Amino acid sequence: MADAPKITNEDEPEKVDVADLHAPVIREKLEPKDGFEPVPLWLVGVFAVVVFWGGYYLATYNGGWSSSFSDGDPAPLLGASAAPAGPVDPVVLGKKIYSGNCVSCHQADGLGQAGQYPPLAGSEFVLDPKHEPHIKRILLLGLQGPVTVKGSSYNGNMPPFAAKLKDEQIAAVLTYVRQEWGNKAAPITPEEIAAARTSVGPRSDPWVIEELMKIGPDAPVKVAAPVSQPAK
Amino acid sequence: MSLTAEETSHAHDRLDPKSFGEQHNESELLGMRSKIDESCRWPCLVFFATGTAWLVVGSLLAMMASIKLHSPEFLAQHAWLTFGRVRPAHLDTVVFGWASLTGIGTSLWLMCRLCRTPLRYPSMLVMAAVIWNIGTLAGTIAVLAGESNSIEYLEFPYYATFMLFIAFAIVAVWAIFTFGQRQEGHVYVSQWYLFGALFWFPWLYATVQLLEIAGLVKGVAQESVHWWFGHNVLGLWFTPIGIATIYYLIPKVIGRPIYSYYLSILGFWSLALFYNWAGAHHLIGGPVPQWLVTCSIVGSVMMIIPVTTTAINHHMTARKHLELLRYSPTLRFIVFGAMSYTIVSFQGSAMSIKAFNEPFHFTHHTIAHAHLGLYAFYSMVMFGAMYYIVPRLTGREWASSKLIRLHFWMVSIGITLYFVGLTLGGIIQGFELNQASVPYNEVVGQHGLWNGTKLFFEGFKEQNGAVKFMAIVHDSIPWLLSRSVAGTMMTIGHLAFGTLLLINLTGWGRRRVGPTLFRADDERYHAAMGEEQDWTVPPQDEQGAHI
Amino acid sequence: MNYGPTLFIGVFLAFASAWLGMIFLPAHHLGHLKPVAADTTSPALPKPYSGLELRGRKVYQADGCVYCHSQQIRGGEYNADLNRGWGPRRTVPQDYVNDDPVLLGTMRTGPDLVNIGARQPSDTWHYKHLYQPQLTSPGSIMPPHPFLFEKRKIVGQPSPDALDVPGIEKGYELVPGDDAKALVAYLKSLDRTYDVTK
Repeated sequence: MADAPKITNEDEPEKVDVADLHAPVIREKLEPKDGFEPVPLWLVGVFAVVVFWGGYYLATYNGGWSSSFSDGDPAPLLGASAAPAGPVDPVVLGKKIYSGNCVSCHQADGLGQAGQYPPLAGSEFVLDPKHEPHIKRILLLGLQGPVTVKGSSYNGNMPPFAAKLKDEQIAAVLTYVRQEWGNKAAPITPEEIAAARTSVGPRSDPWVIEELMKIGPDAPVKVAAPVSQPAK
Repeated sequence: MSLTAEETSHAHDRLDPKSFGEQHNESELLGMRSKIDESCRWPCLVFFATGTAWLVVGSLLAMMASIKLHSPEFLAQHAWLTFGRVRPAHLDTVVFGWASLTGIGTSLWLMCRLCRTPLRYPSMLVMAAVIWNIGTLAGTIAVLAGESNSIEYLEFPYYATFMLFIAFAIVAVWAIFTFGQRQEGHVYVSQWYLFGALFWFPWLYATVQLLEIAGLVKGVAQESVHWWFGHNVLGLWFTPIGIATIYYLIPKVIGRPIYSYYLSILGFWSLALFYNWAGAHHLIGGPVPQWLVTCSIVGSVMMIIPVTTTAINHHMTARKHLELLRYSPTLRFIVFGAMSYTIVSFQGSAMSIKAFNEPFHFTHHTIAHAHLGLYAFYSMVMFGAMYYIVPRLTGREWASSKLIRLHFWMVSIGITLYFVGLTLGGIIQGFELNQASVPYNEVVGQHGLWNGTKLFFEGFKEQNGAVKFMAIVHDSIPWLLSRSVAGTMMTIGHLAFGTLLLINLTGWGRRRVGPTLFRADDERYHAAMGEEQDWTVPPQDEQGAHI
Repeated sequence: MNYGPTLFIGVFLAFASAWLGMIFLPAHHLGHLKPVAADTTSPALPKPYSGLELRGRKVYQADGCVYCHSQQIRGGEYNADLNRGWGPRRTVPQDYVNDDPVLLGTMRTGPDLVNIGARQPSDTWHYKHLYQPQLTSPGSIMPPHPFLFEKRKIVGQPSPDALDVPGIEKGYELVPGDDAKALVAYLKSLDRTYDVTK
């Protein structure tokens, strides 16, 4: 093929030309070969820096080469002790429990959802001392059926938390709720929850509000350890 | 990095075909090339045609998945079209259908050309292609039917993976046999990469199937195996095929040798050593040992070495001949792919560093990165390879320069829009996920695009207000929409390419004479292509020495 | 580089090093963990999945929930997850001993789910959310899963499982199918909020 390749289609009769069959191959250039330029010195320098960084990183962040040390903070792991030192602030603990268990219904702003989940901010159940025994029991066994909070009525299903949360955790979340969103009420102690559990006994059915209203105040409970002041 | 004294004294001999153990001159090679191409015809075309068919299927599945993310009611009534099934179906069809089939097709042709030996036992390879296709089809239908195990990249049930394995074994045996038959003493750099890919892939696939899918390993160790596989299927299966193709086609189209053999060696071994440690960067922050994550971060950052090396090698080879990009479809797609490889790898190294990873892990940013790699690098290289190889197998030139131009511009603008849109969306999503001083909340936020963008520009500073989760979802919708627009463009490009391939394979329409270029051949083209080759005289280099 | 066996040995060794480090060692150290009891009176945690929950896990896999939802909480310096209230602590390898396969997930198009059983214990919420996410989460891009539910004529008494959702004509009720019940059982079992201690 001595002529320059043409682009336009020509109206040639369809004949199979052996030369045509090889046209793409014929116009190919040589098979690829290697050149032998040396590796640039500056490139070697860059690589030395990268290798040095790699070595430094491996030496610093290897977590002792131990598989019990997960990426990130040293978290309590299999075989490691997790007990935090010192007393835990109930409000901090309560906020954690709240965000892990309550927020999806009662919301982060404590306002609940109209018609579905009652508010906790400014709620008479949370603030009024006569409802203290009631809210402890609601947390333990849950609540069903119609209830009126702040003038609006709700008819839902609050699940029980007696099995899932310990006394300390229930006390903490109640304490948190009672001082958040403008609420001001006294903290609840784990001992009070323990006493409420004992008083509830073997019952496992959720409450209805009429039954709860019949329950009077709990006997005061001796506190075993001083309750730390909730931080604002 | 340099050769021994003995090797150096023979260095220039390496440019002499005789020193390669080859007894032919170029005119004999010409005849052999035709024979090789003729022998490759059926197996390669079956791999290419079925691969392209999967590309079209995968593009349609991709469009469905993309639209569902900003319009969740789209086609939502049926279980087999739910997002959670369409998305893995898309992934598996493009990875095991499009990318693997065209990769194998290209590898077969490259192996034969580089070993200077015709393809033997073509029916074996056609059978392998058929089995692979049946396996992919069975697997895809299974995923849509709800049989997926939702382990990313490995969703196919055992009967489909078994078929893929058998098909691959046939190809691997053929490759070893062909390599043993090679007529060429010198093993060119592309062959190292292809050899590596053919060896690594079955080891990867077998290990993950046994340890994770068959459940020999329990617990979070599975995820280490999973992402070792997931990352290596990109780094040690697709990347070597892509790089091998670039190493062959750039010097081939422009007619110059590769810049530096030493850079080739450095690039290959550093890739082999570092890439396979990178997998656990998918698990940064996760419940896995810190040493594992640290090794992966180091492996990922060390990838700077092979990537820079390869980029320099390719760039210095091509840099005086870039005017050919105006004309050659092959070169344009290949160079686009090669540049994307450099960018995506540097991005990957950066993304492994904890300062980047902490905000952007779990976001759309990762998806943008994945597409930059598998599409802007690998798929564009495969397009370039097919534009070069198919006319040599069928004897027919591409029918329409207009369609090639449509293909190129649609997919290149499409993938650019895809990458930019989802990267920005992912960055905004990541920064917003990090602003979390109040808990999860279900109320739709009033955040909007402007506030999200403000957060982006304000960077890592602590913000007073937290961003509610639903607001984050809301803010990512415009970017998800841009992905659908980009995907539409890419799909149009794929349909254009599919049409071109169909016309070429069937021979419909008039036959063109001469190469199908982006623009009309003119004086600049001839200047760029250099002198006509006179094949009766052995070729010479600039000093007049025979090369 | 022209010698086949050299190439092979080099390629093999480079690969084997990472295989040892990323496959063999983690499998050896972490591949055989078991649930651990905090003391002699407590159950070993995490509790094994019940049959229904395991079936629900299969539905989770079949419908690809993992492609939008992760199941891991990062800790320490990566404190955004904890601040968002997705759990009281980071997740640790022990939390996943009963999971086969482990579904850590890599995307958070939707929120993390490893403690969803603790955060959202209401069956009704889950059924409504799966049927039509807009009912519980307006603005969500999660796809609806109506195929997990059954709309049927009320015969005799309405079913106690019937869901109160809009768009159901009089005389018909919407009940969760078996897959929906299994899936919700699984979701409710996702609770790794227990303390991890000696």
